[in-house]
Amino acid sequence: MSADGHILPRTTPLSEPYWEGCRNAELRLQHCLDCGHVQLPPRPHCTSCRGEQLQWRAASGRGRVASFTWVHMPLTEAWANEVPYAVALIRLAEGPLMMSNLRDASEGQLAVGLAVTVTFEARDDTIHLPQFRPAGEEETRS
Amino acid sequence: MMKGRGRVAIVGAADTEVGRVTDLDSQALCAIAAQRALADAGLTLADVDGLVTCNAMSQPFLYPAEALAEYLQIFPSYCVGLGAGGAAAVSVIQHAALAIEAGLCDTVLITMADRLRSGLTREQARQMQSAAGHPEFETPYGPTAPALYALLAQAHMHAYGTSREALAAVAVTMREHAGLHPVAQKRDPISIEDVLASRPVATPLNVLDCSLVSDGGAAIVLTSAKRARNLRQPPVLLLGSGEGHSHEHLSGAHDLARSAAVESGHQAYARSGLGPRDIDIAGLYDCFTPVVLFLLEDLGLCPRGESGAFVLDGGIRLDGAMPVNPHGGLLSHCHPGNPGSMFHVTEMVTQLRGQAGARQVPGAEVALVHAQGGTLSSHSTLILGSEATQ
Repeated sequence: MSADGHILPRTTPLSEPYWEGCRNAELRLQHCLDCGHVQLPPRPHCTSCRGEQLQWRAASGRGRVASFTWVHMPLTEAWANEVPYAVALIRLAEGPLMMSNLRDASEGQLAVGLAVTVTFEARDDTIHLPQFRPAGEEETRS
Repeated sequence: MMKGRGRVAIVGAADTEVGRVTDLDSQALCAIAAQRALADAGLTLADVDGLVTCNAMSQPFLYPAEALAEYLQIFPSYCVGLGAGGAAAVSVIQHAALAIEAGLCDTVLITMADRLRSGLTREQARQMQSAAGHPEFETPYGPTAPALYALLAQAHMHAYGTSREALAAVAVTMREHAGLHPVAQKRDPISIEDVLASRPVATPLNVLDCSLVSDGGAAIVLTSAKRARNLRQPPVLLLGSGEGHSHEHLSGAHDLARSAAVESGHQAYARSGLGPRDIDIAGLYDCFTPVVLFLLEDLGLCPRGESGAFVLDGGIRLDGAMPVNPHGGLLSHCHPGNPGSMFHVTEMVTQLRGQAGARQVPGAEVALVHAQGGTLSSHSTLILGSEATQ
């Protein structure tokens, strides 16, 4: 738990490069050197070809909202002063689906298909949590 | 799966009181459900040589089945404690049927109870909520269980243009059915407007789109169809079953608008030699309103993408094309957690025997029960037939 009571991720040795990336404002994903598959969460094998040659690479940080919800009844008291907060599933440009929060988005603006870009929020010294916000015009075009 | 269609039968079924039960613990509720189901079958605990139960959140044991066998003072040759989830209570029926067909035991008692309403501490309730997400890649973002289902609802609305009112209509119909059930937890009628005006939980879901939090238990008794002929009640035959598993955590799902209920249903239909058109009545897991829409489509009970219109047109009402959950389901009858889908099973048994009174669906001979666990993650389908289908 963070100082303000938010639940922190239960990290694993395999995901250390992911969280290290987050601390450096970089979203990293596992790439399979055999078949090119990109995956999250990290695993010792590629879930597509079962190959073992996996490499961490920086992702573009861009994606689109696959689904979203505004949470009015919070998970714990720590989230109570943020309600309603947006929980979303983001389809990353590289392929994987990930859960995150949408920041700086109004209720009217948030929609399935919305282009979003990653940002990071420090929860403590080691955990900087990936968050997303609507992509600016510049970021949407590419 | 069952090796032979119709070789195993449900011969006893019973529920305990549901809603708020403060004078009994979960084990006691399990024992009461068991005694009632056995009495219904014309059997006693002395006849039971197989036992299945799930752990109760309100009264956990390291080995729940062993603890219950001890509590009941029975000494079975087949004893299974489930790490349950919504689908487990239904999937275990096919395991129990296999055990009977394989000769491991003759008579299996499946009994489950929990007290989520009055038996959990605040901390236990909180832990249950946060356990739904992936501990590393989901929970830190604050998703509640309703929020995970809200993400599915939103995806269905986006994919098929499903209306908000269609979700509400599921809750309204379940309440209408519960009004005909003598002990359902919530029996006062509600309207679509009531659902839309109820407290927002996670958009688009409001409080009335969410299942109840209940105490209660239910039990069934299984034996061979051959032995069932000499027992007290008309047997309800297991005609087919199936399972489907696509993911555990929602961010691991491959398709947000279609679930592995498709595969589970295909297996159950193939093994029973029946199809969606042969189903007279369905018991569908309804922890949140969108789940019923997904299951209607994924099980082929209505055309893909059309579940919203189907429900709004009265398709799942008692006089509709596919009556669903005449007892009122998890939304209005009760939802004590892991045992939740047991009530769908006991209701289908009651309906196939023609014993459901005011909520009886006339001519119900073939029933489908489908339960799911996680977030549309694990699925289990069962097709049951009345004595006439033998």
